[in-house]
Parts: sequence; C-alpha cells; structure tokens
Amino acid sequence: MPELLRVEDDVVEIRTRRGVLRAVDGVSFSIAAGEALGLVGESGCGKTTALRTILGLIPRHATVSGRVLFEGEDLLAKNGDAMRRRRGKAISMIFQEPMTALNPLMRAGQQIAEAIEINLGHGGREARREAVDLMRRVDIPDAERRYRAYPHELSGGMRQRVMIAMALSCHPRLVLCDEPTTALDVTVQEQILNILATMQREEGLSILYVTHDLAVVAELCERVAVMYAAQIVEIGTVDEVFRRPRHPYTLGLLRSIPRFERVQETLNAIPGAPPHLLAPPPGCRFHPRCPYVEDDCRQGDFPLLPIGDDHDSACIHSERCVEAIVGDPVMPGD
Amino acid sequence: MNIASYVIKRILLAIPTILGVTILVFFMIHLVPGDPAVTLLGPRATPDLIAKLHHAWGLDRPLLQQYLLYMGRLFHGDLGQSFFFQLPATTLIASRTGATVMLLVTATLFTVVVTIPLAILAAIKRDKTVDHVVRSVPIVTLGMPSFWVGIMLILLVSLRLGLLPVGGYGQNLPQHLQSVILPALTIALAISPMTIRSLRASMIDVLEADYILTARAKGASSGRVLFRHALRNALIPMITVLSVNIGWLVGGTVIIERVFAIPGIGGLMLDAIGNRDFALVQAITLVFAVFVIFVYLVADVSYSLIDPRVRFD
Amino acid sequence: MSALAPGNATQTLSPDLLPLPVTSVKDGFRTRWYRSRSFVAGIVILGVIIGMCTFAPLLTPYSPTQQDLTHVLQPPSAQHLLGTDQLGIDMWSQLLYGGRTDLRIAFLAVILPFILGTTLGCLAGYYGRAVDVGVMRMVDIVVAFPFYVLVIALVFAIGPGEKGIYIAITIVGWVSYARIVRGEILVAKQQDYVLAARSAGFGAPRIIVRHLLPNVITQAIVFATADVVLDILAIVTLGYLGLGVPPPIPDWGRMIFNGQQFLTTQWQLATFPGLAVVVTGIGLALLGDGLSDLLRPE
Repeated sequence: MPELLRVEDDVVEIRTRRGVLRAVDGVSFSIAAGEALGLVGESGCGKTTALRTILGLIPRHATVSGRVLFEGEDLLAKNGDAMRRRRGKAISMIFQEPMTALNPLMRAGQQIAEAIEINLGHGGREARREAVDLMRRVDIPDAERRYRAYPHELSGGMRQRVMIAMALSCHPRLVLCDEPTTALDVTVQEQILNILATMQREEGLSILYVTHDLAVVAELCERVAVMYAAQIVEIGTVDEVFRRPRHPYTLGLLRSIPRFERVQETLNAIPGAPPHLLAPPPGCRFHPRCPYVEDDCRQGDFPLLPIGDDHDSACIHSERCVEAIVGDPVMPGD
Repeated sequence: MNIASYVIKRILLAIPTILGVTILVFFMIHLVPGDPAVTLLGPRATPDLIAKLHHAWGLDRPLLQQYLLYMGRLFHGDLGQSFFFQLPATTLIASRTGATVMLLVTATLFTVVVTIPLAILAAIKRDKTVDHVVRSVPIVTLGMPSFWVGIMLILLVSLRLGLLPVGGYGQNLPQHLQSVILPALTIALAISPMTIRSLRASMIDVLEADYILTARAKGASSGRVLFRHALRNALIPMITVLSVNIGWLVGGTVIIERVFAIPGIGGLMLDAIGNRDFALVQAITLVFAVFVIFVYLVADVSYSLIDPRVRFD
Repeated sequence: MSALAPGNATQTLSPDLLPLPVTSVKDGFRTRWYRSRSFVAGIVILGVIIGMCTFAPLLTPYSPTQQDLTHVLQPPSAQHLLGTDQLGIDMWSQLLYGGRTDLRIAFLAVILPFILGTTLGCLAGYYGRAVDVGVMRMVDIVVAFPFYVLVIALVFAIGPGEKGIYIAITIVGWVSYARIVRGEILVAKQQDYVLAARSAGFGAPRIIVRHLLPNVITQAIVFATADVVLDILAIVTLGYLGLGVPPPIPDWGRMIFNGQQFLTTQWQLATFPGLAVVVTGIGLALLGDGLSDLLRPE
C-alpha cells in the first residue's frame, strides 16, 4: 500500500519558566493509505502533541522542527494558509471531549454543515442536506431533528458522532483521533469504534489513533507505536507488538492489564514514575525503571532499530523480553 | 422554562436585595448627626416648631413604623419631599434625568468603542508588543482621578484648542451633544482600563477553548474563527463586563457632572448635600441603586437570550 | 474508560504533575524580592514619595496654611517652586503636606475593610450555607450602590472629617475582600491538607486561622495594594467635592478644586496635585504587580 503520511524526526520544544522542554523528541513513523496506526502511551508522553503537529495546531511558546510528509509534501514547510486548506479537507481531526470541542452556542448540525461549506464550497441548503445525511451514516437517530439540537442537548456518544460526522464530511484521506472514546462509557465506546472501523473500510481512510487504552488499539488498528517520555520506543504490527513485545516498557504495560482468567493477588504496576521532560535521564529514558537494565543502558542514544519484519524497538537488550514471555505469554490463549 | 418565567424568577430573586437597599438608604439618613428640623428652621427654631416638623415628618414615631411608612410611600411612587426646594423629589429628579441619560449613554458608547477593539487586539496578539502596551496602560491610568482627567481635557481641548465647550449643557440638542462629548470621554477613559482588562481575559479564555481548536481543525480561516465562533461566545463576557461596571459609570456621572457643570441627577445630589437636604439625597441614592439592580436584571435576561444553555436552569 | 487501559493499573503520574522541589511562598519571597523589577520599581517610587512627604519640613520653608495675600496666584519662581494659590499659600508645601494627609488616610483606610472583609469571607467560605447566604446578601446590597454614590451619601450622613471617610470606606470596601477570600477558601477547603486536619479533629477556628488563612491571604494582600489606590482616589475625589478633609488641612483634592478656576492663567495649580496622585498610583500598581508575581507559589 502506498505511503500516505510520513513523520520524520518531529521535535516540539516548549519554552517554560524553568527551561526548554521537549514534548516530542525525535518521533518518526509512517502510515500507509487505508491503514490505522495506534499511538499509545501514558498521559504526558507527548502523543497528543505529536498528533497536533501534523495539522500545525501547536501550542503557544512552542517550536516545531522535523518533517511531516503528507502525500510527499512537507506540511511543516507550508505557510499558514496552505496548511489551513489541508485541514478538514485532506486531513481532519476528532477530539477527546466533545462537550468542549463543539461550540456551545451553535446548533450541532450547523457545525457539521460549516465544515462542508468551508471545504467543499457547497451552499447553505445543500450543505445542510449533506450534514443530515452524514448524521444518519454515523447512526444518529432522528437526524433531521437532531440537526437543530445544541450540543448540551445531546448525549456524550451522540456528540462524538457529530464530531465524527464533521471529521468525515469532506472525505478526508487521513483522520487524526485524539482519544475520542476516553470520555465515553464502554458500551458507547464500542459503538463509536464500530463506526470508525466501518468508515475506514467504506472510505479507505487512514487513521492515526492516539490513546492510552491498548485494548482499543488492538481492536481498531493494524499497527501500533508505543511512546514513552516524548519518544517512540517500539513500533510494529499490532500482532507483533502485543504478542511479542520487544521493549520492557511495552511488556510492562501489557503485563499490568488485569487478566480475567487468572486470580491475581496484586496488580503488576511498573514501579516508579515517568521522568520529568525538563530533565530526562541520560541514556535510555526508561532505564531507571527497567527490570532488565544493564550498564550500557545508562548512556547514549537509543534510536529505533529493526528487530523483525515491520517491528522496530529502541531497546538494545530486547531479547530479554523474548525470554520473559516464554512460559508466561502476554496474550491469553497463546 | 420560557423567557417570561425566567424574567419573573429573576425579578423575584432581586426583591430581597431591593429591600435591603431601602433599609440601608433609610437608616443612612438616620446616621446624620443633629436634627434635620433644627437645620431646616435655622434661627427660627423653637421647641414648638421643631416638634411640629417632627410630627409632620413622622419623626416622633418608632423607627420600624417610620420605615413602614417610608415603604408605603415608595409603593405609591412618592420618593419624599425635598426640604430645600419644597417640591416632590420625583419631580426634581425627573427634570434632571435628560442630561444624565444623555451623558450615560454617550459614555457607554465611548467605553464600548474603546474597549472592544483594544481588548480583542490584545487577546489575539497575546504576549506580543501590542498586548504589553495595552496591559501597561492601566498601571498609569488606574491611578488617575477621573475629575482630574476631566479638568486636563478641559485644559487641553477646550482652552488650548478651543474645540469644545468648557462646561454647561447648552440650550438645544446640538449644543447638548457638544457639551456631553468631553464629560463622556472622561468617564470612558476612567473605566476603560478595567473593562479592557476584563474583556481581554475573557477573550483569551474563549480563544483557548477547545471548540476554537475544532474550528481551526476544520479549516476555518482566522477571520471566520474570530467572527463566527470567538466573538459570539465573547458576547457574554462583554455584557458581564459592562453591567458589572455600571456602578462606576453611574458614580462617574455624579462627579463628572460637577466638573463640567452639567445639570443632571448627580449634580442635583451634590447640590442637595450642600443644602443638607436629607430627603433628596435619600431619594437620589435609592434611584441610583434601583437603576443598577435593573441593569443587572437586564444583563441576566440577555444572557438567557444569547446562551441556549441558560434557559434550562 | 476501558478496564484494560494501562493508565489505570500503573502507578504513574504525568510528568507535568510530578512535584518539583517546592519552596514555601515566604521563602520564595524573601530570596527573590529583588528580582521582580515591578516590585523594586514600585518600592522605589513609593519610597521617594512617602519620603518627600514625611520630610516635608526639610523640603520647604513654608507652612501649608500660611497665607500671604500680597502674593496671590504667583507663577513658579525661585521662592515658590510651584507658585502660590489664590490665598498666597505656597503650592509646593501644600503638595507635600497634602500628601501626608491623603496618603496617611488612604493607607489607614485599607485596614478595617481588609480585616472585616477577610473575616466575613472566611466565615462565609468555610461554613457555607446560611452564613454564606447571609454574607452574600449583604454583598449584593452594598454592590447595588455605585461606589461613589454610596461613599458620598455616607460621608454626608456621618459628617465632615476623617472619621466619616474611614467609616464610609469600610462600609463600602469590605465587599471586595470578602469575595476574594471566600473564593479562595471555597477552593482551599477541598484540599487534602484540610481534610486531613478535620479528620484529625481540629476545630474550625484553628483550621481556618492556622491552615487556610496563610494560603488564602496572599490574594487579599495583593488586592490591598490596589485598594490603597482606590482609597487615595476616593479621598481626593471627596476633597474635590468639598466632602473630604476640611480646610485648612491641606488636601490634594481640594487643591485641584481651587485650581480649576484658574486653568487659563495658573494651570499648574490644578495639574500638579493630580500628577502626584498619578505617580503614587503608578508606584502602588507596580508594587501590586510585583507582589502578585512574587507571592505566587511556583
């Protein structure tokens, strides 16, 4: 499949009172056309910031460097207006909290229609018709009536569907998802994921899905990248990374998920806490918490290295993870 | 809940405040040292006449009863009788309302014209030079006495440049308008630092809201983001800013009317103070307070008209 | 949220929330006060002005009440730095001694509203419900009056002189402090350290005074610097309207009133007292800005 998006060495530096902080430190990955890539990590690891740099929505006091190649063109090199024309049209975004992401003073349907007006140039009545159509496609019942509703009159799930409709309205080729189901309860989450999966299939979309929930990624995505302390530490197909993780952090994450079929006395938490990005530890950033740490982990740079077919890891002792899984598989039924 | 019942509910909620206001106004006058009857009669005061006046004014009855009588009169629209002019306070206030209203309206207009562009500019260009300039101006101007600013304006504009009258109100409408420009400008300059500061903060809140991010992610141009999304949502804090500062606007008129010799209600109040005309001072204070409460009410109702979330209380 | 989300199981904190070494507010203030340019500038300006007013006798040979009807309305000269007014009194002395009066009253006038407002705000914020409703109702009533309208009416009612000014400003001014402190307490009382103190059985007064107040009072102090400016303006405005400090005690407001009649000839009579107020205001504003920067916990 042809490559749609390639991010190369994305660095986002933020000036704070106490110094310069790298919220995203040399992140690189690519997404093929029609493919869904999950970007996982804990809060504060930089995944949301990385996501936003693709659309140029960087925070104030921040500078971005690196390249973001979309269909061959470097988006970061483009000026404001050219960037704006891409937004909503070729690339669109779905946000985490639909209550605050929708304008409370505007009717829900109108906000979808607005996206259509801006990007496809269709006028009022036609845009409205298309918006209602879209609302039906994302399973919003009674779409005609709901068009005129205000955001606060809709349920959380419904609001998120409005956001999806808005994101898909102009037939984008890439949809960026910023934890869209985190604020929803589990049953609604399932419905939303189904809609996304259906849309991906029907429209041939690529999806970049940022989340801290590994299960969602396992369900929706073909490939996954794991982020820790502003860097990607492992990337590959979901099957490979989740069944045969080759980075101690990924292994730790997977192990910490409580299992139904075994009685556990304690939860397996990764000891310690992620480093503060103003002063990350030297060497491998995970080394202070790593159960397999060795002397050569404490210094140097650790870029992603290929260790298998479409499977890269930043850990130079990744074979330790292989040993650890033998006899104690990560996935049930392995 | 529809608009009508919302309005009624808000009015009902305002009643205890209005009652409290009347109590404060009523008792304030009783703080006055000395005897109003003695003051009025002056050298002609005899114990007999004093007692007669006391009786006529109801001052010989218990305090609570006096208050109830006072409230009773208020309900009939009777604000009391001016000692000095021997005319109903209502009449006197009504005759001077025109000038004050013209001053207030013009001052509000000037304030809005100055505040909105500067606040929006400072919010958009946050932390850049323009913003720093806009934010440092209040440091200088907040310490400027409004009446002094008025006098300086008279010095520069009326005396040195001869562009506008030094004071007074004039005989006809064009003259009224001319006379009101400098005073209204003075008031506007006095409260603009506060309103700009408040509105700028609110605009920044609006501009940093998630839905603005969504709009940009949709591909909306800066202009559309500003006008379609930001401004509409900023209307609410704008109304808040204006209504909260109404007290300063009104208080400003009292002082500025004296500076520019404008025959308005504020000037009347100061004259009444000079004449030790307690009843008139009392009446005017009450009128001002009720007006402020009315403005808050109007602001409240307009929120419900703009923000669909408010109606569903 | 999915039960399988690792964020639930690992005991991790977002790096942004990790506690950095915390300096107590007071420590930070002591070691860094000279680093805030606003604060230093404010102190310097105020110091100069207060110094000049305090050492007035050293800076001028004249008394602010000494009339000289043979030298009325003189322009600035070597003998009279800023000229004389319509009674022949030296302007410069009036400015210096007037500063003594106005600044003294303004600084003193802040104290009672600060204490009253902070106390009521604490009680309202901590106890809530009936106490809160009661205090807020009183706030509503006071706030319904335009500031100057109420101050003027109260000063009129109480009578001329300093006493009236203090009482009027207290009755009107406590409101801002109450609101600020109440707001801070409402937030602070949800904090863990308060819950800990309460579960340890500490009584309310002790909690309020020892635990809540120190953290909450910084906002009130910063506001107090702005309040002094407001009080100076109020005193000077009352002076202008003839309701302030009675003659012959020198007062900037009355000076401006007297000077207004002579704008065409001796414009400095009305201008300089106002400038004095403005400069004092700038000093206080800078001080307040600097203070708010310094007292903010990092």
